[in-house]
Amino acid sequence: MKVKMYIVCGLVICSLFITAWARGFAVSGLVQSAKWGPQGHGQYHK
Amino acid sequence: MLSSEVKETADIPGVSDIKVGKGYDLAPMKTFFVDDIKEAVCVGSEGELPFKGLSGRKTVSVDLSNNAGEFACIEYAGQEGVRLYIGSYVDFSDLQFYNLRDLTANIKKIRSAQLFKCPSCGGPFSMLTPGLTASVACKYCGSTIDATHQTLSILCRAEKKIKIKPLIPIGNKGTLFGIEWEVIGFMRRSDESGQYPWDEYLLFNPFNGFRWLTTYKGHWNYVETMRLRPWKDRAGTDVKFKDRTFKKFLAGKAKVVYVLGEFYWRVRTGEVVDVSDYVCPPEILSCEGDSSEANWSLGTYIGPQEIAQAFGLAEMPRKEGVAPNQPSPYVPLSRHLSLSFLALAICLTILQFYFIVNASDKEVYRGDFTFNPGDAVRSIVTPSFDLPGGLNNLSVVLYSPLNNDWMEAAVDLVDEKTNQSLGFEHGVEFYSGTDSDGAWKEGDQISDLLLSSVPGGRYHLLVQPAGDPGKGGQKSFSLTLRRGVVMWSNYFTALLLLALYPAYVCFRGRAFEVSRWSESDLSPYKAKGEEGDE
Repeated sequence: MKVKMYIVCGLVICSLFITAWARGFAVSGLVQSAKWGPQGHGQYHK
Repeated sequence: MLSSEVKETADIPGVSDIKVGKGYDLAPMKTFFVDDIKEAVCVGSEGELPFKGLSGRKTVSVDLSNNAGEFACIEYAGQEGVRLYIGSYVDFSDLQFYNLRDLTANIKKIRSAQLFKCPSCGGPFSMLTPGLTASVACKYCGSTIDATHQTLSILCRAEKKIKIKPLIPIGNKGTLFGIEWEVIGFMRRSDESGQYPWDEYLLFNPFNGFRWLTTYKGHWNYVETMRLRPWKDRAGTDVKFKDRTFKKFLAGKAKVVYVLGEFYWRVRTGEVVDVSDYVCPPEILSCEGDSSEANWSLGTYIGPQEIAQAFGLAEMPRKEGVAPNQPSPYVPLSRHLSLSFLALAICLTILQFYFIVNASDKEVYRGDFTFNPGDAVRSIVTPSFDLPGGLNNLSVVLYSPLNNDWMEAAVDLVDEKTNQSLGFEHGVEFYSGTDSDGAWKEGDQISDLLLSSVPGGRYHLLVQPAGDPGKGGQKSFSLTLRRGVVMWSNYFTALLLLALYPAYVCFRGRAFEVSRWSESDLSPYKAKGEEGDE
């Protein structure tokens, strides 16, 4: 039973992996401070 | 046992040369090891025999066995010479006797007919296995009685008035492994210090002989005397039996503390024997004996629920710790999880290779810029560029040929359709020099940042570079954007997640094994420092 649950969880992880690839999502991107917002938020323009 | 006499006795050593445990070639290609050496006296005989089976006939009888299930018996009969018998152990059912007496009814009749008195206290008792019992422990005074002669004599008196009530009463019957067993004897033994006592129950079945149930800290073993003899590995510490390696668990002494009921040898309270245990869960091999005999027995771990069910016991003592041969629940689980992890890891790796092969990894923009850190902050607006496709990653590579300097850029990736921007900061720093150890360098002139799930569309960049205002002069840098690059963080994160549960089970399994070996002086988990201290 435990092994079956593990295999199911493993397959879920693999599908998340495929989904992440399809959407261009990277785990390393989570540690970046990139944020969407209105244009030029907090920046100077010349 | 079924055997036949072997006439060639020229190679048989003399009785004074025989040693327990030593091997002798008694037949071509057959080596037998001595199990015990004893004086045998003929008690009586019936029917036809190839020699005079006179009552009182004395011989020195040597029992030998080998690891092929064969046994041998050498009989030194003084002036009659030496006789050698070689045979094998067989099950009673294999002999397919017929026309036998009703043994069960016969035993009942003998038991009811024979009543004895303890020569120490006069307490009455009857024997459960008349003819097979060698010693009986009186339940009144605790003395052990020699039952091998009609005139009963005391083997030893109880040293002190210990009264231990066995969990399974003497005379209780129970069915284990399809055979009905009767408890005929109980013994408590311990190591020499007395700190680690355990109990042993002698079981009897008229057609299957004797077995033992041993219990220690709530754990139980079903034990039988072995027919096949194990053989030691080259190092001499472990033994092999039926293609399985049994690791040495302990070597010490076992002392009889208390006895009750009947036994097939003359047991004495205080009797001490050498004992060595070897484990290969769920089995345990024990070698007990002294200079005159070495007996091997095989124990199989059995759950207390089975014992309770077999003998109708209401409550069983709680299990403490891990028994030496207790099967680990983590071993089969760990094996299956390892195979599953391997399969999933291979799938993941194949997927990763597919993504690598199919990654577009296309350069969508490259710009070279200059700025002066001493000047007021200004934004650089890049020309527009397209990010093809739907959602995908975007790699931003910042390069600047700095040395002993740093620079940062606040960047906005502006979506020209929605006017939303993705703001982030990117920087590089690089230092180098020489010291007494030679040339050194720190940092990098190039930095890579990965943006996740950036929608496709038309974009431009707003870049605000900054540097060390103390170091004036023009500084150059470049920004390169690549779309759909290979992502490794997802792969390693997924592998880590997949490995979590198998690693946990492995850890628990190891903790189980450490606990198993905690009561052994030969633990493979003992730290080298501890061994040194000892």
